[in-house]
Amino acid sequence: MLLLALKGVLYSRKTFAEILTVAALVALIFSTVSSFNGYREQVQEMLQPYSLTPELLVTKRGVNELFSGLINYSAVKDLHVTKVRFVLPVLLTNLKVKFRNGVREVRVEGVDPYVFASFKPIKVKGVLVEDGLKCNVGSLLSEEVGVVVGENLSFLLNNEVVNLTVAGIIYTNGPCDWEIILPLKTLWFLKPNLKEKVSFFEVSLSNARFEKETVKEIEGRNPCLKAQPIRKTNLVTSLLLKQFEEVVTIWIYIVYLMVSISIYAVSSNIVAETERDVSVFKVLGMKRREVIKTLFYKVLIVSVTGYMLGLSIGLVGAQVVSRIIYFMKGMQVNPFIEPWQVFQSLIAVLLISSAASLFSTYKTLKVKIKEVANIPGRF
Amino acid sequence: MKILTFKECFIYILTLSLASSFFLITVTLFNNVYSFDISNQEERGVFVLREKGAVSSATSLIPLYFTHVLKMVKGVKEVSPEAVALCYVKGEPVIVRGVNPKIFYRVVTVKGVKLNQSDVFSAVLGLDLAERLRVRTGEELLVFSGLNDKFVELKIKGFFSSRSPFKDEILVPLNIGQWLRGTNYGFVSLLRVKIEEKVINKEFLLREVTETYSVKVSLRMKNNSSLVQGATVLIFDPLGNFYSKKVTGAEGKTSFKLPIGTYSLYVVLHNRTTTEPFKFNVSRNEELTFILPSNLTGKPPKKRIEPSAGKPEEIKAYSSVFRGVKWQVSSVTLKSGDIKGFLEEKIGFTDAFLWLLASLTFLFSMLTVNQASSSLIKNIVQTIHVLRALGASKKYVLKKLLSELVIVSLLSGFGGCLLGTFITFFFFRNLLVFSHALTFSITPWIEGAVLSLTVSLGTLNSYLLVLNELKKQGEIGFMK
Repeated sequence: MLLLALKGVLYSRKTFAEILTVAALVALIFSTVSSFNGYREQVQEMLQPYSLTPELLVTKRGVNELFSGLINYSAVKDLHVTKVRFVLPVLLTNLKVKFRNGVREVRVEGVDPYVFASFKPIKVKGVLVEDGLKCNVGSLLSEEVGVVVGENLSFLLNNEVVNLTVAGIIYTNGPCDWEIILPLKTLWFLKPNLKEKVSFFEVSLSNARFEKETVKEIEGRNPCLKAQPIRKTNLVTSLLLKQFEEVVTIWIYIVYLMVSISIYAVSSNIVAETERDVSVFKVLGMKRREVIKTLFYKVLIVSVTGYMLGLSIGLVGAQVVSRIIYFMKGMQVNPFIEPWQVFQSLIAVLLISSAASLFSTYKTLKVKIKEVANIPGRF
Repeated sequence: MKILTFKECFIYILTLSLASSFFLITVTLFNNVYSFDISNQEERGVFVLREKGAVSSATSLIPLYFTHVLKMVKGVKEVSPEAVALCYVKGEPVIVRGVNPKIFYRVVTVKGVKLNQSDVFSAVLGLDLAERLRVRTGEELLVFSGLNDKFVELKIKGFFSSRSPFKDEILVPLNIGQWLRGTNYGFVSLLRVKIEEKVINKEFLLREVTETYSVKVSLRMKNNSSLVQGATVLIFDPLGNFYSKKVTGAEGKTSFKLPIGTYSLYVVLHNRTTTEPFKFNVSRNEELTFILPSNLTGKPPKKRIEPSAGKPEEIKAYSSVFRGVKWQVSSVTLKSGDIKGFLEEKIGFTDAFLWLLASLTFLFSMLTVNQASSSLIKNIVQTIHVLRALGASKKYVLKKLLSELVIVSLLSGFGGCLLGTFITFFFFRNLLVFSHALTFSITPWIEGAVLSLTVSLGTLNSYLLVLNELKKQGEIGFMK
């Protein structure tokens, strides 16, 4: 039956056009997919983070908010693992403070003053507080409320008022610019209910290569903690590319729809071409099963040949386009296909062509022999 | 007698419709993705300026003093500075936009909760984004910058709705946007400018602010009005940085080429100068005369003086804002299209390639149409034989065939456009690009182009196939 189908394919004048129809659309799929693969790799490489001193944010596991997820300060010992340079414990809270222009609730950050200075790029007008009843005020907050170095600020607590002296104005170009920074111990003194508690730890590593293993090590030592890299460039890039990929994937599905229609059209043509031949076969005593097999193989041969040709044209086409882009823009992109992508599309084409050939064969078998028996066929 | 019947044409119409809808989907999709722009230039009389060399708004950086420069141009109503940062929030990449609420809401229309000047660690979210992130008012949101090592916890103040892509973004105070973008307070990503359209247009404004003007300076003494020769004239830019130095000639004059702005001028004579600088505005070619006091008592200034540009409304920590910022007004552009910029400049994928791909989709789908029309052609040829046998003239038959093919192709084209539009709206609407849901609108020129291509190519293809088939079947006479 296979030989008969092969003969049918070879002797048919329209076979080449039929194969080309399938091949063209398959080529479109593979050129798009392989180019996208190449570009994705290129973009990810291009947007690699350049930070040499990566930082981790360590919070309480299962809590998404820094304010409410309080951790025991004692957890700091679990963070001093091999590749860690510094650990900065931070306690965040809101406090009411009396300024010259009135009372205002501000965000207060309690930090380990010795680590804080070496951890963040800070400019200080005045001095950075290390201990005692002193505080630092962020630059933007100081401008807003008109605070100057040496001024006393009244912190309105539940039952009492505590005065702290402004030791310096700090410029961090970050959230600290809108905050009041205190030594952790001073904040614990002001808020005894938060004693020995912190909101999160910032961990500085010696090298970006150790990010993953340090996260594992910290979480392994203390399962109540969740460590995550602060710099999310890689993650954000891959998520953005995933969004593009979804658009491309849906478009590819539409091309697959066109491939199905194309294979159906091809199989219908084959049916139309062999309608008379099938009748002759049947007259000559060919069994129904054999007729189905012959047509099935014929459609399959055309589809798979079209698929293989499309795959080759697509890959070569993508390479040609990438070469053109290289000469025009100087960007080296190497389109490639993952084996699973070839496998997936092959399965899709086989399924589509099987369904189309079976449907067409069913239609062919409905041919009434009497009507066509006396008409000479091709075979 | 009809040559084509609907029953015979059904598969042909279906295939041609699918081919044209496929083409329409591809073109619409490419067009939408390619022209996508984070700056969201939606409103009439409002446009966005960003850095000339930047690939996209997310990577653009403009000195904030441009607000001051733009406001000097007649016809500019508002200038809203914005810091755009690509961030990571609750497992999703999100665009966080730092704005000055006071100005932003005068330029952009959004409905719902708005940010106030006094909101510091607060954020308002677009409704679509809020639904995606499943957050509620009062919740704390941990926002990580996608570009640097900054993170900040923000309280959700509320939600807003918008018809523009803002609905997929987080709005925060300008300072927070600047931290997350990784810039100091002297820079922003873009400037949204609202103009009086009757007075100026955007091209005119861009020309005004990027142009260099010739300023001729004459110096005279107060007591005797005599020309001051050999005096050194020092110009300081609006940010207080030293800009240029020249010596007056025999006529007591010298000239400078200056961009728009408010400048400070010192005249140094015998190593002495005025205690305060002269200040002057530049917005066109001018001749300025400065009268020097008889006694110059001040010491010549150093490289940096107090800025002459007015204090920007949106900046409070003024003293540190413009330190190290270079006065360079020519570095802005009206260019838009973030994906386009990225694809073209970083990837090298120009719109020509995208159009080539779209054309290939149509051409390749036409091959399918060719396959599908073969049985139809057979039937048409048979009918033509009958018509000819009945005595119909060659001209009549060809004319009738052509008119019927046009009708069938037109039907297919309309069907394809309808189907394509439906599929685009249904399947692609909620897909994200740059963390913004794709918004599609019916683009008449695309629909028109697809329809006319479908009709012309569909008709021509079938017509030629019929003629070819007739020729093959020996209707030589018919072809003569």
